[in-house]
Amino acid sequence: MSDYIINISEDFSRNPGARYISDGKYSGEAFLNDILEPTFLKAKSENVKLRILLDNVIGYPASFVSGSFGVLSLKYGSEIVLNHIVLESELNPARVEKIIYEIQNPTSK
Amino acid sequence: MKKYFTSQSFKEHVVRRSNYEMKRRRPQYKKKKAFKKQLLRLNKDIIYKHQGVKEYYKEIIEAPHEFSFIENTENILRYLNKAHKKLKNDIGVFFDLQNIKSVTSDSVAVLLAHIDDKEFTGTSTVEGNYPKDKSLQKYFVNSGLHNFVKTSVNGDTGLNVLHKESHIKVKPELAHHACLNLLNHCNVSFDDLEPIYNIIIECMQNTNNHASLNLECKYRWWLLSFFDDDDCSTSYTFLDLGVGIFDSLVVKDFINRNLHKFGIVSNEKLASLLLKGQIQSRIEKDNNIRGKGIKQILKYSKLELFESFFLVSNNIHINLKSEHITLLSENFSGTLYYWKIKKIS
Repeated sequence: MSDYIINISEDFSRNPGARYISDGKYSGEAFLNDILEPTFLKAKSENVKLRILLDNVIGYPASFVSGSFGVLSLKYGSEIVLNHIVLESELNPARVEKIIYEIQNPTSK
Repeated sequence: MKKYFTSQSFKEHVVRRSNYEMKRRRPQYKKKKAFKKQLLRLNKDIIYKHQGVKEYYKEIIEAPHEFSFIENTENILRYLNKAHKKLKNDIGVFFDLQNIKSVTSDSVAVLLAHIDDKEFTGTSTVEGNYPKDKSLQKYFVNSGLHNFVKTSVNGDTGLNVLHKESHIKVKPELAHHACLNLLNHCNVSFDDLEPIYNIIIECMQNTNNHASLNLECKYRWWLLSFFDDDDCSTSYTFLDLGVGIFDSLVVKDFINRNLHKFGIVSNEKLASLLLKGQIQSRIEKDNNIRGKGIKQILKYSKLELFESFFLVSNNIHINLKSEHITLLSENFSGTLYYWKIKKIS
């Protein structure tokens, strides 16, 4: 079985938006529902990795990250998520750290 | 055909028409009709006089010479409040800007947001002029002001963005477009755009959810990205005329939260709590995962990329770089973020 790959700039958008679908285009909720969660569940059931390519995107607003990766972590637990997801960014490794931190600390309290 | 003309219904129709024509030719009918016509005209005049055309009078209000909302906040607010009082009393206002000595782009956005707001202007007329000094005119002309007000001067906006959003949605493409000034004029690389893009998105998101105290948000936001060729810098102004941060925030700490409810905690204290990250979203949905946007803005504001970074809301002015809080004597009903980025050499 080969790993699954999500290239955010190609599969979703170069301009991620805010938290909810009701906020506007390219929201974290839309990314979670349409791409991230279905692919994550496939990777989890097949016990393979899900590689997420973060480059060629202008930025990752906090509410987008929280509304997608944060909610996924709340639903399935940070350990399971981090066991199956591999985040990759050649141009900006700080993005990887930021998303991993969000997965480990999805709540603001 | 023959059958139709001889049918009973046709005969009745012809008789009705003939009676009507006979009636129209009577002098009594003509007299009545003329009277009705006159009455209608008279009524129209009454309605016209009643609805409207009041005597037009405008008051000329001279703008502060330092026309900068960020640097001369209290005087600009006093100026706007003075205009608002006149407008509320159905007196037209003429914003006289011809003698101003300095200007920053944020004040253009603030002035425009106010004169475009029906709650500010009411039904009164608003007019204004440009500064005499040609070097100051560019802030008004090149910002794209002509797209929102009637003016004979159309400037070259270039990559500047002046956007009013009424549907209160987060617009990622617009945020991307607003970053282009930096790529083209300030030598900022695509990777370095991330903080600016993220800040704009978080500002949009916060306006969407917090600008109005009721959830059916009715306030609109404005975004201005302006390249100043004099000092090779790009400045950003994001503002909404909502309720303001300090009138809407919820404090995390139990004691301060209750003191705030009873109005015992000042906005100055709340501002320091905001800087410490001790505030939470008042939106109940997903409350435990919210409140990260403002923290991200505060964190980014410390980056060297930003020459200056300010937040003005209610009666509070914060220099986010130095964390210096100033209590204002005038109230600003809304929230304004302003930041400036110099060309990277």
